[in-house]
Amino acid sequence: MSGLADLRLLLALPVLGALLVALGPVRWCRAIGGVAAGIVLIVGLAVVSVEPAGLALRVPWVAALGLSFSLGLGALGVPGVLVTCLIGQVAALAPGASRGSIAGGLALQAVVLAALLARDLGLLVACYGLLAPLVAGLVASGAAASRVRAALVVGFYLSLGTALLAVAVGALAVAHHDASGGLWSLELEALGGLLLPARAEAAIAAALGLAGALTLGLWPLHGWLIAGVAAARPGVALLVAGPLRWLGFDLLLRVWLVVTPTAAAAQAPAIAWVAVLGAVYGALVARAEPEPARAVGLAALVPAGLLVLGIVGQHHEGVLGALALGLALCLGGAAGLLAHAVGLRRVAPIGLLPAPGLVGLVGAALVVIGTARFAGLTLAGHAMSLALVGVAALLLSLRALSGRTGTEGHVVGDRPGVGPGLGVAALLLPLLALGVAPGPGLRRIDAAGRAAVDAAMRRRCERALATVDAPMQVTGAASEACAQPLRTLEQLQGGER
Amino acid sequence: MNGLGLALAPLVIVGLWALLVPLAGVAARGWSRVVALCGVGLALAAAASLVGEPGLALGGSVVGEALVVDRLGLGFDLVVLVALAVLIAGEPPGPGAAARHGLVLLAGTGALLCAHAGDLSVLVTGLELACLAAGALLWLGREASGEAAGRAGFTWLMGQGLAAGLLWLGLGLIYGATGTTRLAELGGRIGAVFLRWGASTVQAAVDLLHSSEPLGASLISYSRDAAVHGAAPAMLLLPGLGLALVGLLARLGAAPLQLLAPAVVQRGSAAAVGTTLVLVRVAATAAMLRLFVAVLHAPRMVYAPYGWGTAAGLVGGLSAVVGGVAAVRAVDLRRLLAWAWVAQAGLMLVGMLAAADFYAHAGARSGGLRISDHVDWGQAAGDAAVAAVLLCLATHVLASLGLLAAHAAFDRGRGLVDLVGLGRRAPGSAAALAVCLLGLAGAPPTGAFIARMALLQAGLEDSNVLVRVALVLGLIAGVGLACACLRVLTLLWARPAGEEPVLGRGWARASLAVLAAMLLATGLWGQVSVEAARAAGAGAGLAPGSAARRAWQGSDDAASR
Repeated sequence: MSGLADLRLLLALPVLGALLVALGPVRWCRAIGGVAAGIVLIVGLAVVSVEPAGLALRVPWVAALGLSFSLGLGALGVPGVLVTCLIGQVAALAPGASRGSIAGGLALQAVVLAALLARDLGLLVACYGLLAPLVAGLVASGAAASRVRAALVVGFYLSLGTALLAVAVGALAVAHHDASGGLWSLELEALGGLLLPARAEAAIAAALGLAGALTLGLWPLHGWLIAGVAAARPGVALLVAGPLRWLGFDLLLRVWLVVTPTAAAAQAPAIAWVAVLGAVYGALVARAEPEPARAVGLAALVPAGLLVLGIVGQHHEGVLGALALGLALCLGGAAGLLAHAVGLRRVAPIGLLPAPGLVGLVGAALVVIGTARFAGLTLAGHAMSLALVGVAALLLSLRALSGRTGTEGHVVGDRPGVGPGLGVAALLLPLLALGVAPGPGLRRIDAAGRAAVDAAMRRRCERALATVDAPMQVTGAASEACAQPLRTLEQLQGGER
Repeated sequence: MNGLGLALAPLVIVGLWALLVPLAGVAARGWSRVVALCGVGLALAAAASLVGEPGLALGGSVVGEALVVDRLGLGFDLVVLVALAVLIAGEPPGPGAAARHGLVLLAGTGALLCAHAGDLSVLVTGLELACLAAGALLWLGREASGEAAGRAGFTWLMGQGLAAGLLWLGLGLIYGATGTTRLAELGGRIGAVFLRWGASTVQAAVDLLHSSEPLGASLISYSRDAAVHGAAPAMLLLPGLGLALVGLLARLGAAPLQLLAPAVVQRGSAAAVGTTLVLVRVAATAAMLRLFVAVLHAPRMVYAPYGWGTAAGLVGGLSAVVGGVAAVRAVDLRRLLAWAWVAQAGLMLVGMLAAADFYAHAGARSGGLRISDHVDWGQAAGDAAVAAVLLCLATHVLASLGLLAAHAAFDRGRGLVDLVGLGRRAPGSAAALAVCLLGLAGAPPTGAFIARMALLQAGLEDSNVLVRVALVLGLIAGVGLACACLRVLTLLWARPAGEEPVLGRGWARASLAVLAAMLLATGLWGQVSVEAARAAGAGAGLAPGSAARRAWQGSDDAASR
């Protein structure tokens, strides 16, 4: 199994599969796509089963601009890779797929995997740049004019996200160039070690945060995602609601939080309120939405809001909860869409629920703990936000219990076949397993989550101790003073008061 | 003509063929395209043989300093020759074909003259040659394109005539102020103009004239003479620069001076549209680089209140935004292309301003750098910005030519409807067109993505807030252009109302495939593209063959060793 643990293989296989599907005979395309996605899933499992630190790859691309194919898998990236491979497999076999959508889906899977593994932000921008044409093309595949309209909306928002990300990454590259005395680099590790002037960091954080929120489909930037999911074929909808959404989460967790932690902390209260309001809005509107695919998309705003709440608190428990909720959001959302498509209507919203026995509850509980320790909100704010989140979860649960089904026109078949049913089960099973026994899964990512939060805290501490008029790299003295960053930050904040 | 004169071979060959092809058309009707392509092939071979020529790194002047040769000129040569090859290949033989092929070559000659201009007269000759050839091509195709297009073409030509008038007037005033048309001398003479203006005698004379004390008639007369002699050159120079800038921006097609270009290009012949959109713009870009970036980059010439930088930055930002937003409504490949060029002109203009800022040692980080290091940094950063502009231009030209080839191959006068379902009828051509559309939008994996990244880095490194804001706004507004390209992309694989036979001309489809492959190659081998562009841009801020360039070249070589 470890022989398959190769990042090159993980990226090359879906591309190869896409080419085979596109060039092979039409009647075999579904089988070829299914087999290719299955092999990708096996390789994905092999990759995540080995020690992540051993998996890294760096091939120069445009050294003059600091661009390289720098790939690596950290423990925080493991859930994303699994989500992408699993949903990719189910999407390849989903009903209503055409040759183009299967081939495009595999290509999209490769791009998402490359983005998740990218340790070079230039490569990340390149992957984002490919998302817009790929996803728009996939959503539009077929003759319906509504699909073309939805595809253009999807393309616009994804292009906007890419432009924002590109601007932020360009600014970071220039900052690194200035701080390092003329060295161009877009490596995440190098950029994460920069201390930026407050205004520059705030602007970069805003651009990164917006790009992440757009891709995640966070309220009020969720419309494109729901329109795309509702219009697309079921297989494409799964990929948009799952892996694509995880990319936004990954951007917030791996880049926004790590590269611009001080500005992220400053912007956190505002984002927390937006996230909570979005969760309540999603739960309320989902109850009234007659169209099933749109209802699932709106219901997904609840875990999405909770997830963001977990990140912005910059606490270890919150990050773990966010990862668990990310699984609920992507796998549960995808399962909901597939269930609706095959007629399993009552099953549809289950994956999104923070219910006992499901990972959503574990995530929500961890986020609540993280939020309670979130220094950015006042006590009243904590109480209010937690109450609102509770209301949102309750509304969503009520919607699920009511069993509303929406219009029949969006259902592919009333009697589910064995295959699609298995697909829904495959997507829900991990949520159930992690909900019943979250220990092993959380332990796998625990250290990495703690390390990410510690790194962000340390950078905030170093930023607070240093006078930063121009981009600079962390000094040794600041690093030593921030050996216990939280304590130092609390002391500094106490001094300010 | 010394040994460097061989570097003019592409220009000489294209110029000769521009005269030869119409004659060949008379002698052997139907063979003009082959003859023209032979000439372009010969010129391409000559240009390719010059790649890696060490003497071009330093460059030099030829033909009495009227022309210059260096790697920047060679880079432009290659871009123009590729454009010529595609445009001539796409123009079918038939009645009047020889004249059309000759005119395309004439426009190419004009663009090449601009790329090698060492003198203002050559610069303006090249520009006018390109514009007049484009105008003549539009005129020749007026019957086929209908009355509305004819009116638009006429209006466009009137606008270009006005731009030419402004440009000539501006350059005339510059000549009046400095007494030279040589680009190599112009920078120094302009410095002298400002020195003369700021001299103490002039100020003293002005103070005397403004004083309330009664003055003798002879003293008043003397003071007036002193003030006029000192200030007159500057009073000629400053409006001259402004007029020349407006004239060149109109040729570059920057908003709001695009002058009906989108309406004109919708119905002209393929050669006319290609010449108007590509060759004239390449000529204008070369002229802007040769005159404003390479010569007029002294701090006083770039910054307010007298400099061209603020106006160029504002027009660049506006152009990028207007082009990006207007592209969304384009209902035809050519209109889309026209607006894309407006946006691209804006981005390139911002890149040129960044280069001039660097050459002017803008944003001096004197706190951290010694003066000599600072000068080196400004020079290196300016060269990188010029390289980014050149790469942007080259990739945009490839994408534009690809779209024009696709239009020539598949358009039957119904706009984007003709492309619906192309992915099913001609998958190879549809894939090639998709690559060109990605290139137009600046998306990976094409070289346009690499070019945008290079431009972004160059622009954001500049501490000029106007450059940063204009660039960021332009890139974000580029989302509109991306959407317009996505709309065409989605149509390519949509299901057509009925199955239609694949119609398409072989030359155009082959050109489309080759151009798409080139765009992909520039992206996948991005390092090679960037290195080639940087080699072309090295020393662009210094006069070819000058001692300063030799010194810079030496220090650059030492640094790279």
